[in-house]
Amino acid sequence: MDLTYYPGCSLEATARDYDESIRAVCEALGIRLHELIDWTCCGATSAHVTSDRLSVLLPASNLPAAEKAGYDVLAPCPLCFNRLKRAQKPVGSNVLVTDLNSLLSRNEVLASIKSAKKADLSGIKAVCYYGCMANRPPKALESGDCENPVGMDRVAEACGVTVIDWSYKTDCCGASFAVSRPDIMTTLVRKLYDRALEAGAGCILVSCQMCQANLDMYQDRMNRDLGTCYDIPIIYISEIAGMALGLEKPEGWFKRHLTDPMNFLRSKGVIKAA
Amino acid sequence: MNLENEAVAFDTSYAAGCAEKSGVDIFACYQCEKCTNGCPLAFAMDVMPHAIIRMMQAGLMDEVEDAVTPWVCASCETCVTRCPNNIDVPRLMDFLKQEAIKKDIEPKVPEVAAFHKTFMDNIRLFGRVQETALMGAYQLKGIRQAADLISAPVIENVKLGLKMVAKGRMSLIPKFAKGKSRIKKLF
Ligand code: SF4
Ligand code: SF4
Repeated sequence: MDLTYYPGCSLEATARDYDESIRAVCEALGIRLHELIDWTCCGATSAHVTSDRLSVLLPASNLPAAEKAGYDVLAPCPLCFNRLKRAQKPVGSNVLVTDLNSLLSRNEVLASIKSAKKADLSGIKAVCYYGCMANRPPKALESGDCENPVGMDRVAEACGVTVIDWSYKTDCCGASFAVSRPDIMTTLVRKLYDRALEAGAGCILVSCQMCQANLDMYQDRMNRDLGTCYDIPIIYISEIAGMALGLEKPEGWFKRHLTDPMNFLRSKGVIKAA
Repeated sequence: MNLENEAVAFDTSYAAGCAEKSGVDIFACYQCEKCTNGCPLAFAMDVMPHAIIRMMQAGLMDEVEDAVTPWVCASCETCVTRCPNNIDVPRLMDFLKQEAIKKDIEPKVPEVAAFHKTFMDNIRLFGRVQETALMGAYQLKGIRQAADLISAPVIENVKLGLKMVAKGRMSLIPKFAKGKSRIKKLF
């Protein structure tokens, strides 16, 4: 399979672990990614908050090159995915834009994950957290399961993870307020931690680098300021797939996490004790 | 306003104007409150989302412009997904922020307005967002606003920023996208 790849700004900066794990997993699964030539920022939340025009034109300016390439477009950042997809109708673009969970949960991809699986991840008990942007609003994004998405659950199961169902898959984590209103963000994030722990999960799986950063980065600060003791690894579904496929690289990706998942993964027998 | 035993005439011109400019059918709302019940940010709002719409319908422009609500809406799209009348509440929240900016009304949560402004400047400048430059510029703006060089959150964020550089999550060298001239023309 060949795909046009639109990494988006964070995947070439703060979320290189997400980018690298996606590239490595796709390579291992025989999916060839061709990075979109001269791609530019989708405008993110700030464009649609401040200008209707730019909220369409910024993402849309990437579409002609994608049309020309002729492959489906993979946009793993849910915000980029959301903005690109919603810009298509106004400018009459027909190329298929997909998010990571939709790609990895295609039947043929699930089958190749299962047949190439090398590691036993059954010790990992996890909840899947999808966030806001990949499934809402469902009409514009052509998402069939916006209240209870299952794509990531299916991928994690195919990787051998013990997936726990929970009701907070798409509750907002407040990432857009992490900098401007940390108080709001903390309230939302704590709810997710507490519900995940209550459900019996040892870690939270994500497919959004904003959710990852928001859930991963501030645990220390919260523990210090609020007297909590959160130590919950926030792991990308692509990192899980990388581990399941027995790739060499996962430990390098995990070095970038601020809440280090290594002890957790060792204690679950997924990564060998040093 | 006396709401007891008296017919109250709504001035619908404000709502009609907003509906036309935003493309959101404000009059279709029948106050079922589904939007508010599912809103994860309701706890941080001073006026609930359904009430914003009711106030618009009633022509209470000053009250609407005074609300914190649009500035703490996270655009999570839960409300529009569930609204039985397909009313695009987050679109309306964006519209209210844009109107406030246009009319030069002091944003109710200045940090949010400052963040979006910095973000857009960053796109115009580089074509892609440079997260390090973005955080730096935003923090500097914060310093200027507060005129407080040792404000705790700034120090906190700088510390976190350094940790991210150390972890390889942030680079100190900005990259310019080749497509940036294409982008500049759009602004
Ligand atoms: S859900 Fe829709 S109809 Fe119901 S109160 Fe909210 S905006 Fe109005
Ligand atoms: S989009 Fe805004 S108003 Fe609607 S549910 Fe989300 S935070 Fe609340």
